[in-house]
Amino acid sequence: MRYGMVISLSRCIGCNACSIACKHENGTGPGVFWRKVIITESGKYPQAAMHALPLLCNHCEDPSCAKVCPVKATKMDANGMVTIDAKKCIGCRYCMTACPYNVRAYVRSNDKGYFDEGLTEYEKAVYGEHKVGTVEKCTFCAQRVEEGKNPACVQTCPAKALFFGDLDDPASQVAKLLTDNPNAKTLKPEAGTKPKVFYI
Amino acid sequence: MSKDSLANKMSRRTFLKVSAATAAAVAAGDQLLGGNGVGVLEANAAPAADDGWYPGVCKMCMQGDCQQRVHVVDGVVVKVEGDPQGRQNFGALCPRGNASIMQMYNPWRVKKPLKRTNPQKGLDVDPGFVEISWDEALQTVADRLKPIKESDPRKLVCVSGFGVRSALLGNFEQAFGTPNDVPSRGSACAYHIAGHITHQRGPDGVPDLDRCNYFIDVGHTLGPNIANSSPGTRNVLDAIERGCKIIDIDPRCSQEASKYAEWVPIRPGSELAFFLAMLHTMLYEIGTLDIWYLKARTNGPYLIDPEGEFVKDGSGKPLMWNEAAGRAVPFDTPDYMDCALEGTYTVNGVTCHPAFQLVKDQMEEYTPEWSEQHTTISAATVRRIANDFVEHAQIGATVDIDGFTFPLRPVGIVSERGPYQHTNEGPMQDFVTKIICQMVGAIEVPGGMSGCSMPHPDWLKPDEEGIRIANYEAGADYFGYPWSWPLNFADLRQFYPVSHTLVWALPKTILEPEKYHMDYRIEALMSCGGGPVRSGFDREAFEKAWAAVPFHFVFALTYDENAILADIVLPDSSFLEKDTFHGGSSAPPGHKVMVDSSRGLNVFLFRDASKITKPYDSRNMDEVLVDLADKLGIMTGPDGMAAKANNSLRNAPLDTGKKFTLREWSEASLKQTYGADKKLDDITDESGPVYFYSTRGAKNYNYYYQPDNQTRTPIYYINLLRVAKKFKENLEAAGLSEVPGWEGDMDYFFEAFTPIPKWMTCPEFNPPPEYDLWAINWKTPMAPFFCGDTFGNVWLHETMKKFDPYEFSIWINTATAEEKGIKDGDKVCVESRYGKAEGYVKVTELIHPEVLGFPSGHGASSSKANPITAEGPYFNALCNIDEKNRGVDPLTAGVESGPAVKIYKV
Amino acid sequence: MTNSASNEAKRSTAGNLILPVAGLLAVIGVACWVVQLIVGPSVLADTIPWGVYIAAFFLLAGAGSGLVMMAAAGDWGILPALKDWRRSLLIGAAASYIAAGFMILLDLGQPVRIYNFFVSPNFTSMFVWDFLFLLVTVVLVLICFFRKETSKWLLGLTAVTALGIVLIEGWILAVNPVTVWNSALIPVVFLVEAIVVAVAVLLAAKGDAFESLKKILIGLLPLLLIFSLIEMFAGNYMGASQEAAGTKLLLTGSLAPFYWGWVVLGVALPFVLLLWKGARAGAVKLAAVLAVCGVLLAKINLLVAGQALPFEGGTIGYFPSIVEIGGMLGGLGLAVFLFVLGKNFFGDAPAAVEASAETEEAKAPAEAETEAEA
Repeated sequence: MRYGMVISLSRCIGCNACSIACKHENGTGPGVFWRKVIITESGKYPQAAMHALPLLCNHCEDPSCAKVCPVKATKMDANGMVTIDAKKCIGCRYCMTACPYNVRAYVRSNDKGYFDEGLTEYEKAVYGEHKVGTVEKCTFCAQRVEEGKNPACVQTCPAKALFFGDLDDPASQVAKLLTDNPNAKTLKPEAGTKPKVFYI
Repeated sequence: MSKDSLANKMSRRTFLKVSAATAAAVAAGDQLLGGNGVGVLEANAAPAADDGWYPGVCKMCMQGDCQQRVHVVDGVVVKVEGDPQGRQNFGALCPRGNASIMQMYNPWRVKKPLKRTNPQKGLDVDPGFVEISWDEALQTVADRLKPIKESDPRKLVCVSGFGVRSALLGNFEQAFGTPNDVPSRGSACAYHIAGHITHQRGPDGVPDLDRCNYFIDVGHTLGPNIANSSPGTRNVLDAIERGCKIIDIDPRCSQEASKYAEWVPIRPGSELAFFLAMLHTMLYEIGTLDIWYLKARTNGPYLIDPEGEFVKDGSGKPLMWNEAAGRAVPFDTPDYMDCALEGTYTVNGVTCHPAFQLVKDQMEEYTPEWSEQHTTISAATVRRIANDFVEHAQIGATVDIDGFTFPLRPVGIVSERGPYQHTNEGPMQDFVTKIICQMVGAIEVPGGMSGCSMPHPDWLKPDEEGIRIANYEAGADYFGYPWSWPLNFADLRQFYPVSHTLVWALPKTILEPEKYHMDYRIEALMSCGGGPVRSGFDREAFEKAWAAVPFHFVFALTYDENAILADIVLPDSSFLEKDTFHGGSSAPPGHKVMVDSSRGLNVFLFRDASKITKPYDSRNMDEVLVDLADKLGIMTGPDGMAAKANNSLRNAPLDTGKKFTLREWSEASLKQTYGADKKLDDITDESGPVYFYSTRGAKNYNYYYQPDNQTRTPIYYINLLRVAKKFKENLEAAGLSEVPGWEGDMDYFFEAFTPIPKWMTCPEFNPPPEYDLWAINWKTPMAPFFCGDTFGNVWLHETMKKFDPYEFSIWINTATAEEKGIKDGDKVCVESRYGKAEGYVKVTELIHPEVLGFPSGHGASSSKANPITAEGPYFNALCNIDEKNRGVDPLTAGVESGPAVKIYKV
Repeated sequence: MTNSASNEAKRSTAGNLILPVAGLLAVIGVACWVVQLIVGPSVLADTIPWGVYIAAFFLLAGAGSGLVMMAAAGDWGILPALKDWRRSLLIGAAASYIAAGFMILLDLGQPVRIYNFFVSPNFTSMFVWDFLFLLVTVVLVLICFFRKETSKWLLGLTAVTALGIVLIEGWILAVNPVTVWNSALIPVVFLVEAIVVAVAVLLAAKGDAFESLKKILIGLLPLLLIFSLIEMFAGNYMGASQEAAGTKLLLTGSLAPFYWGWVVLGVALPFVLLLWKGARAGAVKLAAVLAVCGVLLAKINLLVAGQALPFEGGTIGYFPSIVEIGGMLGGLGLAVFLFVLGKNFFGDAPAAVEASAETEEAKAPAEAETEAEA
C-alpha cells in the first residue's frame, strides 16, 4: 500500500479552500500552513494565463527529511505516508532545510493565537495538540484516512481537483489517473525524492 | 482500511455509531491516532455526552446552501467541514466556509448589546458605546418603534444584506406595517433584467453545461468566484474536460479564464459594441439562423406599427404576416412557418414590419470593423467568434430525453456584473446577448440558456399576446412595484420601475425628502447583515444619512460602519451558533450553471447549534425579532408576525395566539414542504439532508412545459417601450415632468427603454482626456462578499496575504506600468472624477492595458473594526451615485462601476 | 594548586577584563536560553529554520577542529612554533567544542530529547555523524590533554576526527537537495574556514609573533574569495537556475550588504593589513579579528542564502531576534570563558611569559563578539 495524491492543475482554481480546511482539520496556529496554493501567472498579454499550484508534503518515496532526521522521528510508514513522531522529534529542523518543497512547519508556540487579547475558546481547544519545539507537516490527514475518509483538503476541494488513494491499487482513482496521464509530473524531480504527490 | 477512501461512505457512519455507543471506544480510537500528535483532542478527556458532529448550513455568502458538518467538543466548535451527503456541495466547502470557525470565535465581534452615549454620529466619531443588557436594549428599541408604528409604520426602514437574510425579517416588517424593506445588496449586481424579460426565472441565466459545447462568458465567472463550492465550479471544469469551448470576454484574465479556450480582453463599457457586431455578423454575413425558433417561439414575426406597438386583430391578438396566404394572421396560427420574418407590409392601412426586420435593420451599421474602435477586439475575432457560435449551435439538431424530443442548441452567453454595471450600455449589451441566443434557438432547451430557478410549468407561460410573461424586476409591465402617489417606498423604486435594488436611494430620501417627493420622513432605521455604507458607492452620503436618522438600531456581527453609526447595537450570533433552519438563498442550488444533481432539488437545510456554547453574549437575530415583535404587540392575532409567517406555512401553521420559537418555526417549515411526519429531531449529522427532486430529466428543461409554438420569447422588447410609456403617464399624472435628480437629462434616462438595442455609451466611456484608464472590480474566490465578515476573518486574511499576490493589489498591465514609470509594489493613487483610492500595484499581463483592476471589496473599515479590514484598495470610492453624473442606471438602478480614472505614484 | 592560585593573583592584578566579560556574555547566553525554554522557540526569528545559532555552531566547531589541527601541526613539526602551545590549543579546542554543543542545545526545540541520538540514531543523518565525531573528538582531546606523555600519533588521530567534524558539517549542508547548498565545495570551504579561524585566533593572541601563521592566513583568505567565485560562476552559467537566484540575492539582493561586508571587511581588509609591511602588532590582531568575524558572516550568509529562496518562489528575509543574538554571543563568550577558566585551572606552559600571551590570545574571540554585536 502506498498512499499518494494526484492534483489536477487543469481543475485547480486557486481558491485556497484546501489551505483553510487543513487549518481547522489540524488546528494549526497563526502563520502555519501545512498546505497552500500559490498563485502565479505566465505569458504575455493577451496570451497570458493565471496559475495555481497547490503545495503540500509530497510524502516522498525517498524522503530527504527522513534521511536527515538524526533520531528517526520522521519516517515513512508501511502505507507510504511520511510521518513525524511528535514524541521523538528533537526540533533540530534539519528536515525543514532538507525538504526541497518547504512544506514543513516548526511549532514555535501553542499558546499564541490570532488575537492580541489571548486565545479564543476554539484556539484553547485545539492548539494544545501541537508539541512546541517539534516539526510538523501534512499527515495526509492520517486520522481521517484511518476512518476511511479522504484528507480534509481532498474532501473540501470545490473544484474536485484533488484525488487521494492507494497508488499500488490499480483500481484506485489515483492509480487510474496516473495511468491515464503518463505525463504526470512531480515537483523538483531532480532532488531525487520521488514524490507521491503528482500533478496532472 | 479502504482502498480508495472516496468510495467508502460507510466508515464515517460506523465511526459515529461507535462514538455514540461508548466514549471509551472513541478515546481508544483517538489514542491510536494520537501517535503523531494530531487528533488527540478527544483523548484528553472523556467526551461529554453532547460531543460529536452536528448538521450545519454555511452562511458565509449569499448562496448559503452548502451543508456543513460541525464538530462540537465541550461546547466548542473545533471543526467545520462540508457534508459529503450535501446535494449541493458534496463535501466541498469554499475557503470562506472553511473559515467559518474564525467568524464565530473572533474577539472583534460585538460581544454585548450596546447603546450610544455620544449623540454626535460619524464614522470617525467615538460613539461612546456602553454595554447594556438585552432587556434594556430591546426595551429601548421597542419604546422607539412604538410611536412610529402608531403614527406611520413606513417611517421604519429595514436594510438587510446577504449576511442575515431570513424570512422572519419580512414577516416582522409585514406585521409592523412598513413596506420599506430595502436590501443593501444588489446595487453592484443589477444584472438580471434582460434575462427576466426574455426567458429566465431566477436571478441568473445559466448555461446547461452538461450539454453546452460553446459558451461566451462575459465579465464574470461561471462558478469559481462566488459560492465556489456550489456545483457551478465543478460543472464548468467538467465541461472543459469534456471539450466545451468557453470564451472569456473580460478586461482581466482570471484563474478560470486561464482554463478556458480563449481570453479576449475588452475595453470596459464596450461589450455592447462587441455583441452588436456579433449579431450583425450573424444576420448579414453568416445568415444561418434558427428560423424555426424565430418563427415558432419568438415575437420576431410579430408585425410592428410605426409607434412600435404590435399590430393586432379585433380580438387583441398580435398579427403576423402569412406570406403563403398573403395576409395577416393571429400569432397563434398553426401555419407559423409560413409567416414572414422580413419585409414591409400594410395591414388595415398601417405600414408595418415584422419585428425581426426592424431588429435586423437596426444592426446593419454595427459591423465588426465599427466595433473594433470601441472594443479593441479585432474585427476578425468578432467574425471568428460569431462563426464558431453559430456552428456550435447545431441548428436543427434534436435530443431525446426521457422519450421527449428537444431541440439541442449547445451554445450560450452569460453576461454579469462586470459588463452590466454601466449606465444604459450595461443592460443593453445583455439584451443583445439574449437576442443572439434566440437567433440560434438556444433558450430553455438542452445545451442552451436557462433561468437558474427550479424548472416550472409557469416560467415560460405566455400572456394573451402569446409572449412569455416577464417576471421579477422586469415584470413592471404588470407593475410588480405598484405605482402610488405620493411616494410610498423610501427607496424610490417607483421612479425606477424595472430596477433591481435601490439602497443608494436611501441617503437621498433621508437627506432630501422634499426633492424626492417624500411625504413622510424616515425616523428609524434597522440594518443588518450587510454593509451599505461601504458597498453603497458613496461612503460620505451614507454616513451623513445614517447620522441623520433619529433612531438607528443594528444587528451586528462586528463593529462595521453600520454599528459605528447606530444608537443601539444588538450583537447578532455568528451563523454557526444559529440553531435554526436556513432557507438557502434566493436561488436554488446550482446558482451558476445547470447541473442535474441540484436542478429541481428541494432541500431542507437545518443547523443544529443546540450544543454549542456561545462565546459572547450574542443572540440569533431572528429570535430577537420575535421578542421585539412580542414587545411591540405585533406577534399574535390575524395581522401578527406569526400569522404573516403562516403565509408560507399553510400545511403546518404556527399558533397565531402566541410567540413561537425558532425551533417551532423551523419544524413548521420542514413539515410545510416535506410532510407532516417530518421532525427536526430526525435531522442529524448521520441522517443527511432532507430533500426531494421536484423535477429531473426532461422536466428540468422549461421547453418541456411549453414545447413547439406554445410560447414565445421576445427579440423585440416591447415591454420596455410600454413600461416607459406607462411610467411617463404616471409621472405626468403626479404632475412631474422629470424624475428627481435627472432634471434636464430625461432623454438619456429613457434611452435604454427601447424595444430594439442600439449603441449607446455609459458616462465613463468618453471621459476628459486626463482620465486615460478605467477601473474595474470583481469578486475573488476568497473574498467575494462583505457578508460573513470576510475581510475581518483572520484565516482568509492570512491566506490571501501569504499566497495570493493579486488579492490586495491594484492590477496594472506591464506595458502601461512601464509607460507610467510604475513598478510592481509601488504605492499609487487612482483617481476618478468622484474619488480616490490608494493601494499597492501588481504589475501583470493579466489585464487590459487601459484598465486598472481592483479585486474584491477590500479597504473599507471602521474605527472599531479589526485593522486588517482596512487593508487593500477601496474600489467603491471611485464610483458615485449622483444622477447628475449618470452614476446610476435608470433601467436596473445598478451603479456605474467602470469609472474612468488616472493613476499616479504617491 | 599553589600554581593556579598564584596565576589567579597575577591576573587580578593585571586587571584583565577578559574573564568577567566573557563570563558575562556566557551568563547572558544562558539567560537567553532560559527565556527560550520558558517562552518557547517563539522568541526566535520565525522566517528560516537555521539562523545564527547554527552559524555560531559551525564557527565554534570549526574553530575547535582548527585548533586541534594546529596542535597536531605543532607536534608533527609542520608548524614547529606551535609545539609549545599544545596545551593551550587543546584547552581552546575543548572550550570551542563545548560552546558549539551549547549552541546546538540552544537551537534544539526539544533539547532534553537529545538522548534520542543514542536511543534512536539514524545513521543516514549527517547530524548523527557530526554528533559522534564531536563526541569522539572531545574525548580524544581530553585524553591528549590529560595523558602524561604526549603522543603525536594520538593527537594526529584526534586531528583526523576533528577534520571529520568540519567535513561532516560541510556535508550537513551539501547533501541537502537545496541548490544553493548542494555543492561539493562546501566541506572544503568549511575546512579552510576552520583553519582560518584557528590561525586568526592565534594571531590575535600573539600579533606578529608567528610569521608563518601570518603567511598561512595571507594564503587562505583569497582562497575563500576564490571559492565564492567558483560557486557563483558554476551556478550562474545557466541564468535561470536557483544558484543564479542565490547569487543575485548575495550580490545585489537583500543579502548584498552582508556579502559585500564579508568581501571587504572579512577578506580584503585583513588581507591588506597582513600584507602591510610596516604594520604594527595591533594591525595584525585587527586583521585576525576581522577574519574570524568574516567567517562567521560567511556562514550566516551561506545559511540564509540556502533558505531564503523557498520552493514556492519569493524571498524569505531573516534577521536574528534579540534572544538569538544574545544566545549566539553567549556561545562565543562561553568558549572564551571556558578557555580562560581551563587555563587558570589546569595551568599551561612552563613559562610565565607564555601565560600572559595566552590571555592575550583569549582576547580574540571576545573582540569577535563585540564585532558581531555591531
